[in-house]
Amino acid sequence: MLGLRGTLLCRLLPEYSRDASGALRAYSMYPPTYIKPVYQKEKLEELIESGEAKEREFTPVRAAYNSHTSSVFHDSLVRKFTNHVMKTGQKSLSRELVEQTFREIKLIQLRKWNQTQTPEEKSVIECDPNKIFHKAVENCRPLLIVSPIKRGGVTYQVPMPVTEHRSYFESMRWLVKAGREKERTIHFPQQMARELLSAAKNEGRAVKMKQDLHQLCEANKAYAHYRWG
Amino acid sequence: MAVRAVAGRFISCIHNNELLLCHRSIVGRTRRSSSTQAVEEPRPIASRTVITNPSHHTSDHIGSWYTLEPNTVKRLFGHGGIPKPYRTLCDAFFESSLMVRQPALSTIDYIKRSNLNLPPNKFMLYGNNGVGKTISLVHITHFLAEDGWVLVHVPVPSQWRRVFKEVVPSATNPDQYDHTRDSVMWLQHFRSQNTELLKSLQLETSEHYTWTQREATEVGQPLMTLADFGISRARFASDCVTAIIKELKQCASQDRCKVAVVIDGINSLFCPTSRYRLEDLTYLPPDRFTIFRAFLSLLQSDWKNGVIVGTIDKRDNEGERRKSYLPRYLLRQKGWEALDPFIPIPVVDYDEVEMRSAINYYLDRGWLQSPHSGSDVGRKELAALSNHNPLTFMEICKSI
Repeated sequence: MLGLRGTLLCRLLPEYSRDASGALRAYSMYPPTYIKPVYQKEKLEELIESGEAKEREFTPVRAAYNSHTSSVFHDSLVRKFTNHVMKTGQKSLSRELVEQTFREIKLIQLRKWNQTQTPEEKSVIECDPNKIFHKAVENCRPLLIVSPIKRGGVTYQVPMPVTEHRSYFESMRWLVKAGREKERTIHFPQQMARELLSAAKNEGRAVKMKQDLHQLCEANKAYAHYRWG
Repeated sequence: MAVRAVAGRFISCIHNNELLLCHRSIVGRTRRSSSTQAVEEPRPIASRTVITNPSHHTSDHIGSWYTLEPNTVKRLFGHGGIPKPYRTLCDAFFESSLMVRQPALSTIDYIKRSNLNLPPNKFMLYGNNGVGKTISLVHITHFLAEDGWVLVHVPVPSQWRRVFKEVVPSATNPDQYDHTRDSVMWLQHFRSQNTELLKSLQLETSEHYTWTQREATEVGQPLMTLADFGISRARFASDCVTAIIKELKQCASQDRCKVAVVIDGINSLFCPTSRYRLEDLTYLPPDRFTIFRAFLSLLQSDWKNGVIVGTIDKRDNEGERRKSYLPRYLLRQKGWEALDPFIPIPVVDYDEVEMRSAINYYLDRGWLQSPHSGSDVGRKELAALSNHNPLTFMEICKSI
């Protein structure tokens, strides 16, 4: 019973996984028939326009998280990043740190913006922290990753393509790691702001980590065929 | 582009299936960023007033912003007076601007209409946290400086009670305790605010002050020599503050100058305890600090040609007495009697016009970067999130 259907369930619904005995266990409090809530006004309107809302009308819906908000200033990637910054569940602290980071970015860029005189130079300076953040995350996303595979008693680091989801994960993990490598006297938001600004310019430690990984993939390309059999 | 090149090189050497997968992941990469698109709107211009002299501000200017000259800011508030978060913003904006608001305007109007032959009028700004009491006080202080008042400005008296640099037993009075470095800092503040004015007024000392066997200040010296002596000899700085205040009161009573006392967080002077501990481990009551006694003497009604402006602030009280922002509660019996009678001036949150003007100013200076913040929905959300409170508004705007 747990053969193909179980595997499929595992793939489709991440909250289904196998325990030590190999039995399938649902960790969610909701049965798989429940759909995820749509909490943004624009997406809701899209659903209504496309007629999909009609189909969902009588489908039971899961409760929304308390971090789901219909605010116009909400950004799902920033919310995800907040979770990466978070330690031991201190969400309010991590949110404060991310907000401070954005404030630092704005202060740095606005000082630069006000110092320059000509409108041409001003137009080059990007002051929107959200855009800088998105650019930094995009710049740090890897194209390939390595995975350890054991062949003939030796573990090889085999290059593999990366899923979109995983690439975002790696990118934000590297950014946070770069933000945490700092002098004791420098506060996290300041360092994080510097890292994001340099990552947006394709510089800095987080981008270096990505390039190092790409170099490893390049060096290990001879093992690429170990992916199969 | 460098990343793509690396990927391209690599893709060419692996299996066809691999290529397909890689290609798919690259195609997928623009998907997320395109979902966060928003409508670009032209950036609004802040409503400003070109009148930089606060005495010419009228109720027509309420809600508009006026800019202080950098030199004025340095002279009047170089040693404190503008809260740090606000100063950081001013630094980033390359200008120090204030919104013209009703409490400051009414206070300025009352000061203009005061009868200076009577004991000084006391104007007390009060209100909840972050409504703009200190910023209103900055506006009023600017007016007083332009209007030719000698300023006795105390930016943060609660610091002397809580986070003082150094407290030592007084050199002259065994019952009292002196702040050495804090008094020096205040004297520097006084000097920076009043040097030019005191030169033209030519106020002189009326008493002979003996500091040590060798050091003394003679009768008939310019008043600033007292400040200069205090700055060079920290041990006597608190006594110099007392002497300056005594001389200023005397000069004002003789119609030789007019003195404005500006104290931010005046309720701090009436708190029962300080954080300084004596040898028997009891906490020293602040009225045994020399400088507290000096400033308390200014609140008496035994002089004229003066005005007293202060704020009554929750956060300047000690932790257990911050439940209400109303003056009687924060001042206690002691402060209420010391200040009686005073004119209470409530400071409240932004109204609709001021809220709109504040959002426009932040948009104009580029502090609000999100493309949604200028839209109607964004404005409504900002107003609702901040509850029209200026400080909360500044807080929520930091990441937007």
